[in-house]
Amino acid sequence: MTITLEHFKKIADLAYLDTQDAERLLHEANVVLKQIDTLHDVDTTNIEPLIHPLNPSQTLRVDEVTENSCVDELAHIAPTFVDSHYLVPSVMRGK
Amino acid sequence: MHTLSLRGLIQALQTKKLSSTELVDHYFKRIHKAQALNAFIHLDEERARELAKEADKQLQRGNAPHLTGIPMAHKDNFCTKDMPTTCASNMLAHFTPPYNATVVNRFADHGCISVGKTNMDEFAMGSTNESSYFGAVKNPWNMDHVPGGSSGGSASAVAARLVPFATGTDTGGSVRQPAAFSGICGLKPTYGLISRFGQIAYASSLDQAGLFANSADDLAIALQAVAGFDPHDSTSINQPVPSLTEQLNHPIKPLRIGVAPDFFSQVDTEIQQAIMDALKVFEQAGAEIVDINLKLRPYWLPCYAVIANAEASSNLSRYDGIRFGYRTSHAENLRELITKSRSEGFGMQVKRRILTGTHVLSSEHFDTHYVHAQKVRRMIADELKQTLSTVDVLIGPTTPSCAFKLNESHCDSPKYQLSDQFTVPVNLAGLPGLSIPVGFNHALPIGMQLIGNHFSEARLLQLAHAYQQCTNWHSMIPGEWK
Repeated sequence: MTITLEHFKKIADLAYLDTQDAERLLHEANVVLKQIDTLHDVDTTNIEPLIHPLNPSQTLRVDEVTENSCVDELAHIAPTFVDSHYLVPSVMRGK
Repeated sequence: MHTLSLRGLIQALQTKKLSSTELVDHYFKRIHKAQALNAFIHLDEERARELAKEADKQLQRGNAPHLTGIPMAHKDNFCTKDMPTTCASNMLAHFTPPYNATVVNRFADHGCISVGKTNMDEFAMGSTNESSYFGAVKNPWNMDHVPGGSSGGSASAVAARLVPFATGTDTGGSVRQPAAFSGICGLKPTYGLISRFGQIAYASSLDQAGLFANSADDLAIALQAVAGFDPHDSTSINQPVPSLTEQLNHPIKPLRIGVAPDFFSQVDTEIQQAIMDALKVFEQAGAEIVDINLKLRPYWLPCYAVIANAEASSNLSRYDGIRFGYRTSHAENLRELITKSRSEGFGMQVKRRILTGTHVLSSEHFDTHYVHAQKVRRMIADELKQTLSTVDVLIGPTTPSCAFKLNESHCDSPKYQLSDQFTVPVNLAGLPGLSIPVGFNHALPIGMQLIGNHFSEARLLQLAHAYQQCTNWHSMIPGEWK
């Protein structure tokens, strides 16, 4: 299966990437997708998907509070952080 | 000093024939001389020298942990709170995490001194180390060639004896392939044996921390220090780690080695010959070679491509320019902020995988691509496990060719596409895989891969150690770096 540029631009939009990236990478993605298509030669009837390679039971920790507030650490690594809030451009139109 | 094994260095430090200060100084001199390799993204020289002084005091007192004073390096996708952790990406070029990865803490607890962070393919996506934001790494055997990837900086550093051992990560071969290209030993352990806490995620169901060293013996020492359950990682396996170093010298007989004819198709003739020669060493030691058939081999790479790209797309959605990492300098609104930050922050290799992954995860393709690949993955894992119930180990080439020339790889070139064909099934099935050097082709190293059942690291290391007692490929040092 080959995907079109129009479809790939929609994918870029979903992935929060520039549509120009989709234009540049369409050929390479189609090379990968062509390879992926061969998987459809495999009959997987009655096969369960493998999600974890060892299929163990999920390890759950004890339901206890283990962490204190780490606001200072988070503030330190954020691009802009004021009064315990991340700052971003206006979300409301016209503001 | 750099010609000593890790075991030799430990003995020299513990018996005070050598100080950690001398050792760290020696390795930093080598690192500075080897800048052209571009193996490191960040060096932590001042702190390493301070830690070496502390290590010497502890060694003098006589209560020092086993690895006290040993220099080492971490791949730059392990979180380090005292050093930047960039994942070789513009996205994290100025990021210093607020915590250490468990791998980092465990080696520090054993007394190791981290000299710095090694270069890698951006977000561990690549097979050449050319996608690094900080430039390509060079192969110490031939500077016109790549060291492999994605853990190319660690491989190059260990091969040039800039550190005795280093960490790496392996999602589809990113430890074993650079180990093969660089003429050293590289181990990808069983999924869950080493904690992934603080290892920056690429494809979570495939990712596994691994190790580089110059011999199986050295790998066993390093693995013993870092393996084991970690409550911070829900995929970590809670079971005791066997004594790997003690088992190393156990006799290897009787042994059944599975070899698939498929392992030799589309493989360079010289590599085929080197593997056959290595198999003869095991045969002479009493091993039986058994022909095996792996029918699902044609689907290893496409199955891996779906799952790795899908999980990458999901894992990398966290980079939004808001909470941490790169933020664009100008955006009119929130959507533009996130889109521009991601498009400017990520390199093309990463964006290609995100886009392909987003496509296979999109609602109209989720079942036909992603879920279908997960089912094929189960079939592949079952076939490998079934095969490994009839033989002790599978052996074949780690890679079909030796190290590529710099700038010769393209995603649609057959050589590049097939480079991971023997390494990805190990990750799909969560098995351990070990690459060891077994020869040279035109002065570039050849790697041989040993694949075992889950938690058979002791067995793999024991076999590699037995081979290395009869051969000297593992002790060869690139001419310029002797």
